Amino acid sequence: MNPRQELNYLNCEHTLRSWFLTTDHKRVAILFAATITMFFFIGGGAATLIRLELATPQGDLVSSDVYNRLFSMHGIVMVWFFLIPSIPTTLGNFMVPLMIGARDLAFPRLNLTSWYLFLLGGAVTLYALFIGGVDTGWTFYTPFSTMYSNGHVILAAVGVFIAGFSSILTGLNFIVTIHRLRAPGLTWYRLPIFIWSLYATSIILVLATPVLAMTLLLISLERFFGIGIFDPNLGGDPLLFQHLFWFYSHPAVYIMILPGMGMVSELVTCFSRKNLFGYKFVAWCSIAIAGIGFLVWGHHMFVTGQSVFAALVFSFMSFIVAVPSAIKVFNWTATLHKGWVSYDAPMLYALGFIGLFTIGGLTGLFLAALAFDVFVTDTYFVVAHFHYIMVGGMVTAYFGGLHYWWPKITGRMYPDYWARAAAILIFFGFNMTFFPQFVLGILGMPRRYHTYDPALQVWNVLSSAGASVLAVAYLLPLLYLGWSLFCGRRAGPNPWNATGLEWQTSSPPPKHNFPQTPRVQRGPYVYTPEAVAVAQNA
Amino acid sequence: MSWAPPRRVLIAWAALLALLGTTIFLAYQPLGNFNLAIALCIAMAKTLIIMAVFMELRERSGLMIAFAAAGFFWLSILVWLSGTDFVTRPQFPPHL
Amino acid sequence: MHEAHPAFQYATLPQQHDAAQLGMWTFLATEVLFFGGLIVGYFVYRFGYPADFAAAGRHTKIAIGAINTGFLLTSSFLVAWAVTAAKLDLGRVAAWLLVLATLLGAIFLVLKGYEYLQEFHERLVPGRNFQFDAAHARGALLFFMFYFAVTGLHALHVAIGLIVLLAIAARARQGAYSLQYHAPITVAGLYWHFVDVVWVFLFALIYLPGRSGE
Repeated sequence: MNPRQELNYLNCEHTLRSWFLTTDHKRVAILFAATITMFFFIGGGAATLIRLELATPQGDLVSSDVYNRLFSMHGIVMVWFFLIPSIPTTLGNFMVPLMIGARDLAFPRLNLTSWYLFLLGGAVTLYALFIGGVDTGWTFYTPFSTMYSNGHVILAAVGVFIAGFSSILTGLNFIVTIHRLRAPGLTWYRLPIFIWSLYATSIILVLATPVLAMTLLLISLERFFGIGIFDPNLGGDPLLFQHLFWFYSHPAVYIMILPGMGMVSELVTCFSRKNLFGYKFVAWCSIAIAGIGFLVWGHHMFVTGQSVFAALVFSFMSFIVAVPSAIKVFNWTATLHKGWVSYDAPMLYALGFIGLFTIGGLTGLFLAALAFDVFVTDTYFVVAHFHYIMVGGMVTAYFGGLHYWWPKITGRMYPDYWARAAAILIFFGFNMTFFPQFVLGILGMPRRYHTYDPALQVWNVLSSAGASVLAVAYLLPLLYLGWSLFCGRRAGPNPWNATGLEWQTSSPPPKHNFPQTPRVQRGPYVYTPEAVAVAQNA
Repeated sequence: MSWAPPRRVLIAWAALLALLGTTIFLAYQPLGNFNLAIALCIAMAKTLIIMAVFMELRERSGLMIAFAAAGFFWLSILVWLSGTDFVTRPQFPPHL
Repeated sequence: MHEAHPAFQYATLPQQHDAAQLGMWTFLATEVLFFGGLIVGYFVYRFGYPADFAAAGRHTKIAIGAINTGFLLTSSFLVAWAVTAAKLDLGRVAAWLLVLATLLGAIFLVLKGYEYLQEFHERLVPGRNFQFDAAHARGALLFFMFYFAVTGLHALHVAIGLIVLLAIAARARQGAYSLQYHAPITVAGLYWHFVDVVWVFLFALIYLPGRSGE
């Protein structure tokens, strides 16, 4: 061992047992990161096949049945095994104790349990997908899923059910940790926005996921016993399934964006060396998004048979929920204004997020309007909308966070040039893939079909070409980040000169995070003019 | 006698059994639509006693009480908002 | 009895205890929403088929239900008593109370099983042999599907609770708990009381509909 290198959480123990039975939140974060990266490439593989098929109007690459299973696999894997865990279980697990000055989470063994549950759920789901998969879409709508589908619905549902418990435990851990393990002097209004966002995310994880669990249990029971409460033949209502499913799944999309928003607040402040504009607004807007996000789920059901009155209520609430998100975008912009902006890779991702999330969010408002939604529902307009937010937003923010905290987590720096090139390529590839899909939606191309009107081919080809660029762009970080682990320049405790408790300890941190418990006396983004001047002259 | 049950716990138990008897008795009275409402109110009263006394919420912080209430509050959102659909449908249940 | 100290991430034992209770309450909130999904289904279909639900409700065994409710309420009382005893260093008293509470819970499960058997004989099991008066069959089928799903799920929670209570009883008998350190028994108690709360609601929704009519 290099005598200059101090003992840290990575090199303090080397046995397999010390990794697979670890209760150190930092090691658990790495276990999760490895797992979700694997799922990202599985879901991405399905996406590749989808875009290959859609390059031509005929269904010539795969049969319609296989195509149904492909987009179902893509949705299930990307939503439940990549996006929902992404930031919370990796960057969240690693950073939450560090950012609040704690030595670990409130329940470290529960954290490890969460990972094992995730593995188990993932294994069951992957098994279901590889022995034939499901053709119901990730949304499992009844009565198709319960009565007519010949896919492995129950197995897939069980896999997701188990993974759901993993989510719940993570959320539970974060909530108690943030309430009870903050360092002395760290009041709520001195917390970084990343923590506020994860707290809001955890509220959703804890309160929404159980309803999904029940819904999956019910469709499994219905399918297995041949009885059920969603079967119209027996007096049931398929829409009950949709209410229960979307009560979880709409807040779930906020699970899939709030951590990204928190990340952007960290990046925008650090790389414009300014305090966050309207900190309290941004903090409370995170909570507002989580809260109001529970009141809008019916906008997924505008055309499936719910009453017009309910549709109106949900439409109205869907307009309201856009307001706190918009406030955040305004505040980030105001933070950038007259800041001393540097365009390091993390900042490129943050800027990309702001632009792409705005487009995605605005198109969400279009969809909230009943009349417009009836026109574009179940078309590629919706597909483009949610990919702008989930991929253009969340995945971008995840990469931004990965690049920001990489030196802290690994103690190494990655090559700056490649990182910026990859960020720009991702932005370019992403827009090329998904902007044409807005056009396709307006032109009437339905989603979940593997054939389409030949007149729409040019847009589909653009989209598929963009997807190939995006695929390469997503592979680049895998390469240079992997390279940096062995050959990257060693990083100091605070390579970005950022504020925040996580930067007050070594890179990588020692096993118990801080030699002594820090005391906090200031807000999270105190970038003083003196500090800026020092950085400018560095 | 330190091994004896605390008075408040004993009284709570007695109250719970009394409420059980009451709810059964009232269920047999013809009160039309009120039967459900009354049964639920009594169930809520029992729940409050269990939570306040057995689960010691009376002696806990406001934060813990908020945590305890959160699940029920969110469930009420689910019941109420999905209810606005079912209650305003032109035809429910759907007939084939 | 050893001197308890907090885990390394906590500064003091009270802080750790508080965190443990907050954690359990958070978990209980998830359970409320888990059972809640079924409750929503129940209310939706009771709204849709009021007469059928009333007719179905009359076929439930209110005597068994009432006795079972009494047993669960009493076992909760015993657990609350046990927690107090543990805090007073009366580990053996606490252990016996917990064992008694477990016994009542076990009797609950036995009676529930007997009830299921009776319902099987009366042809009230959806998907197996369900037969009901045609005028109310649709809603009654939904009622009984709800009934078996929710009471089955509840019984599973009771069974888990029994194991937990016995494990805690064993520790209590060894004198593991005191005024200074009692988080595990408190938290286990919270879980058991919650199982009781769920049953209180289920009793009202399953055994009481339709009793006033005919």
